[in-house]
Amino acid sequence: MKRGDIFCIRVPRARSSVIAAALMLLVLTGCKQHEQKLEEVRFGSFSVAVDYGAYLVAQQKGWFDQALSAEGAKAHYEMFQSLPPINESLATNRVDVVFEAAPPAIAGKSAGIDVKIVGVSCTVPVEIIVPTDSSVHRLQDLKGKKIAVLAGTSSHYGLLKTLAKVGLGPSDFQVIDMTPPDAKNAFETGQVDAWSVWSPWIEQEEASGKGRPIPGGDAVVYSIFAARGGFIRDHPEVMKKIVAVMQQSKAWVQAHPDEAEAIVAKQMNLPVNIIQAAWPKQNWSAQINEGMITDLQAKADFLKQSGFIRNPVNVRNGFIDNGFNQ
Amino acid sequence: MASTNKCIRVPLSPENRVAGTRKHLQIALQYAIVPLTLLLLWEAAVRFGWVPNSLIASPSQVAIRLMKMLGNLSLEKNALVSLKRLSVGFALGTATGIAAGVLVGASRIGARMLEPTILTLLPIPPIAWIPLLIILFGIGDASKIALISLGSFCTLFFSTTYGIRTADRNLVELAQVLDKDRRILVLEILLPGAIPNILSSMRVALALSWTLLICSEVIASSSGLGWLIWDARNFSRADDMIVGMIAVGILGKASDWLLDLLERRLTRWRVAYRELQNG
Repeated sequence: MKRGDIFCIRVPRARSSVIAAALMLLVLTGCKQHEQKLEEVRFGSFSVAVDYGAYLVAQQKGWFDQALSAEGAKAHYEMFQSLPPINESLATNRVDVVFEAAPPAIAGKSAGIDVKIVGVSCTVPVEIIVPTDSSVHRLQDLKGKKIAVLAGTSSHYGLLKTLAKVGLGPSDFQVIDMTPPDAKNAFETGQVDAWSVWSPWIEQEEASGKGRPIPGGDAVVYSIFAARGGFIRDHPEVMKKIVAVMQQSKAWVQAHPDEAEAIVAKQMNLPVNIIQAAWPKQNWSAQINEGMITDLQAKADFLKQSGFIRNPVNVRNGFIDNGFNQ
Repeated sequence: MASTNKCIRVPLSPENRVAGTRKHLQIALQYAIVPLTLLLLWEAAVRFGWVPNSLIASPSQVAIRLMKMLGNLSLEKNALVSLKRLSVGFALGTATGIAAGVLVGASRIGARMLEPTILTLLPIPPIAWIPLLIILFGIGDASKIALISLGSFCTLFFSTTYGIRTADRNLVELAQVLDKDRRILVLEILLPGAIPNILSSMRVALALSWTLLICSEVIASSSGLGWLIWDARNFSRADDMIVGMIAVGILGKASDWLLDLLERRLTRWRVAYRELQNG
């Protein structure tokens, strides 16, 4: 083999250097694209949930666009149907601010993704529902049952934690990992015995008479918004404006519940009575505070101990940034 | 086959021996160059941060994790669950596919009754059946097995029918002249004639079965290799995810090798291009 041969195929040296240069250019332009001036802030949210009420209202009222126009930027909204793409998008600079519950952010942090929690949308209790005619009436009755839940969500954490409190360990019941639309199907056709999920999925089952929640359990979902570390560093003033919009919207939805419920119902394409049933469960005055930090640390420790995440996460060590709420 | 390939050993001269070793090295290099380059590139890409190392683990991290998961049996347990689903689904789909194929290929009434329906359903990608299968068979093993067998059924039905219809016309005429009954015609002429077709499409069906297995285990599951990959992705455990992928790759290759072996045994009578290549 002579120089200039690549294995058996002869590539003229001039041509191969052109190819190499083209590849380099491609790589360089790929790296460059995000160092431009801010043109768009990319918002992402996960699944359909009433706890995004304040975010949905701000979106619909155009408050994000208003705040961003001063910076010459626009808002772009994306909805994710499953959790992994959110962390994958954060890690590859494809989304800037995400609305979700705390556990996926903890999982991302554990994997070394640069993400910070910058605010709380609201808190909402974790609920477990069973078919209306089910023989399950207490949490203890869930022993040996099949329970649908989306792995990695607060509902997953809440389910395990709530059942641990009544003495049921992970081997005492079967967790079936399903997204809400699949789980809804399985729940209504009797293929699972229970379903741990959030509003409005719970209220839809209640309203149609197909499901009822089991009382007990005190696990809480912290519906948070988090941002990419790089975005916070490059555009702290924009971040501050976004957090301010969320605070404004949280205050507004508390002052105008009827109008807010109507907006959320429209955004989710659901009857307003479903949203009305879910609304009182959401605590819109929740903020980043000591109680929230303790709760998130408990979640992080639990995820680590149960083997879901590899590296421990110290919530107090720069994972939560309350500076934009001041 | 070894006995027929016996050759006389001629003592090699030193020059020939060197040339022989060099040839062996060259062949080894031809095998190793692509996987080794890929491994090195992969390790470098993770080490130097060309890809986000929070999402993709390096080969060395994956190797360590692989040993750990083999040690605590979590990989074996999930692999066994998957292999069970795969083998039952594949066997069921293959058997029914061949049976339906013979019926349609060998009998005109069978063709009239079954062929239009099956051919209409055939183009629907098996994955599109998932919602229906879950409603019909639940979220346990049954719906996963049904999905896999559906894929194998379609593949085998097609190739069996085709294999029978393209059987050697002279042999069929000979059987008719000799007044052989239908059973003998099917079992001794049509089916054996279709066997090369059937076997090669079984390998295609097996590859499809692995795809469908992983798809089905991602949807509603709490065990299996597909679930393992999905769960690792869910919690950003990049090393576990790639271990799961490698396990699928290795088991997939092993199962294909088994079928290849079967194919060689059952079609020994056919002289194929392959034998020329192997020398």
